[in-house]
Amino acid sequence: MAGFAREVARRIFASELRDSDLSFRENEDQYAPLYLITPTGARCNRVLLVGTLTEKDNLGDDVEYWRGRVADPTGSIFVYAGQYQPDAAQALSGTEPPAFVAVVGKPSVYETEDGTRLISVRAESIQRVDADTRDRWVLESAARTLDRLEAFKAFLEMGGSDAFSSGDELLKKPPAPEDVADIGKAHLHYSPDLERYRQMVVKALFALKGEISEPRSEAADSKAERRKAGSGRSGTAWDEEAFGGGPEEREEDTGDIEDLEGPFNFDEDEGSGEVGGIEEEEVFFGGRGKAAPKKSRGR
Amino acid sequence: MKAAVEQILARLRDQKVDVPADEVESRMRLLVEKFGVPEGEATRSVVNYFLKEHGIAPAPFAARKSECLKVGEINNPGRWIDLEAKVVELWEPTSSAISQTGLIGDETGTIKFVKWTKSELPDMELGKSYLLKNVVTDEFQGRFSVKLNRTSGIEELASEVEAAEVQAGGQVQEMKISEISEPARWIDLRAKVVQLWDPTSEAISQTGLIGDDSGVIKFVKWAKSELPDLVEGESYLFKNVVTDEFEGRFSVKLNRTSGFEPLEEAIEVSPQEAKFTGAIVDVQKGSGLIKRCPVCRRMLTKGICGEHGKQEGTYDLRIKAVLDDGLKVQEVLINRERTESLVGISMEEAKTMAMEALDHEVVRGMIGEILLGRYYTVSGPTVDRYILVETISPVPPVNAQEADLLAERAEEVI
Repeated sequence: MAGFAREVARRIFASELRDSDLSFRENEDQYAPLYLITPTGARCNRVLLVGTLTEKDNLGDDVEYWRGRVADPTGSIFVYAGQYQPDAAQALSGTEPPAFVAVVGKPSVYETEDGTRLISVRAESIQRVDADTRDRWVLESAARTLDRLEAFKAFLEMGGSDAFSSGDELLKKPPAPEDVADIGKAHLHYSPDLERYRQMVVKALFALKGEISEPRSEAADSKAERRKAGSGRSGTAWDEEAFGGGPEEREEDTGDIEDLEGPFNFDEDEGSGEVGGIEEEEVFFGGRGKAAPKKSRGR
Repeated sequence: MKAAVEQILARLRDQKVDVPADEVESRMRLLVEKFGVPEGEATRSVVNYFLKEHGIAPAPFAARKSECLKVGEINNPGRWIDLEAKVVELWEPTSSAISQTGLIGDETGTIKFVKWTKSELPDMELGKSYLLKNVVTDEFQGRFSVKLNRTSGIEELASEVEAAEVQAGGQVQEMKISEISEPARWIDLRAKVVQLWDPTSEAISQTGLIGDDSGVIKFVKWAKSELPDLVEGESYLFKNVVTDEFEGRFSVKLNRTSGFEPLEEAIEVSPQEAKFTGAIVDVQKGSGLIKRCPVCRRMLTKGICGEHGKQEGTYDLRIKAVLDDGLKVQEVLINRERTESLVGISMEEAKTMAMEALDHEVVRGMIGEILLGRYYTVSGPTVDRYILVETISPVPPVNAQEADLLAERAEEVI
């Protein structure tokens, strides 16, 4: 059969991606594409992430199975690559963190035994990139997220899910119907606090401005100079809000969250403090083990 | 299918014939799915089949109750209906089997009609209004029509029916290629054959690109059309071709009812220029160092051309990549010259690389390392779903103003 439409790689900040756990197929067919709906209503089968690879581990025994953590100004997310993604696995194994990477991949939601839903990205490709590319991605992801927030707001002003179910209002001011349906789904499932995601964008842009207002000579020096951006502290700063303020605790070691608290500062220089942040976050997520993390809510 | 079965059961019940629904359905499926009979036709056949089984002669069609519909309400084929309509246009019949054809309309729209010669019905006059009794709806490529046959009737109406404006799509209209914006429209085109491609199926006699001063579009000439061959570089008036759409891209199809005539004057073709900015999210298979068939220039797979078999092949260097801006994807083709300057490697160097690694794929891998995840702006003519890249440049670094503008937007968004 002649081709199929390639799925667009959506731009979702790590923090929003981490909040996402609504996935569905459009029909019963096992080959139907799997979609994830994010809290602001993005429907994604594929994402492009550009951020800092902050850690990597080979979780496999006989066969290599790589896990990396990629951080953007809002948070971080795990990226996996195994034998079925040989290029990505090779790239991940060959990249020493910290480094800027561009990851194209499929979001996947994993449900633990206790019903906790964890999201990660199964990488199709991982490639080292430069700081300019990372900056461009942050800008673009901010723009796309604002697009979605605007659409969401318009949806709510139309009467939200009531109008959605009656369909009357939709006829008057028609955005793409599919988008509306996706926002409707997000609204029903997450009832998202849009202000929180607006804040997320504001912070990402603030971080970006801090980046680009630096003298460029420093940036041009070497890639190593650029590593600080987006990694460590800036990532955890958002996590701390996302998890500390969330209605449900996803982790048992809530005590560790406090360890992450600190000044919100994107311009922080490279240093031990930042590394510490990463390590603490590792504790926070630590012990999750293999690709298929199984943990019980042992409180 | 369900609706058709219900319809059949109802019709049989009218004749006091009771048949299990599953028998009707399996008979319908047999005809429609296995034998490809149109649903309307199959419905009739199934009704007759069961009537016959119960020793009832098929009822005269006129005796069947048909419903009175408006033109705009016609939404499925194979329905027997009554229409009050005005003859809006009369066309030259294309076959002796047709005694009259054209457009009829009421206030809800217009629809094509066909009056079969065999119906022996009187001719209708342009501009007059009629009650058309027991006509049957039909559908072809998404457009509906009504057929008048032996069991139909025509009665002239004393009062005139207001007919809606003839929709542009209701008749064949000459268009520019760039104006094509919906599938299943019958149009005329003045265009030049820009490229002929190898047909991918025996059902296709010719395929390729035709163009006019507004753009280019893919065409397919079906083998069944039995039309003569088009010549590359020649200009034609294409008559009654039908538009089609696949994944948002349009094409035109030439079938049995289509035609073309050579034009004296050559049509100027302006390729559609496109520009796209996005991140490169894939460097596809078939990128890098490839071998092409010396006869048809197609890429060889393991030394074999799909058309010309095993070939020595000539080397080429190119990139097939996918750009993505988070909203849509754009496939691009980058030729040897631009690939060489973009990745900073000559084809000779690529050959050496491949030779040393004993693997052509290393070249694609290297290209991926340079391009993947990076943002580029490309421009060039579009062919099918590709941009043939003429210029490609990295997107400049984010400047403070861009970030400020977005930050302002973020302040106001909620």
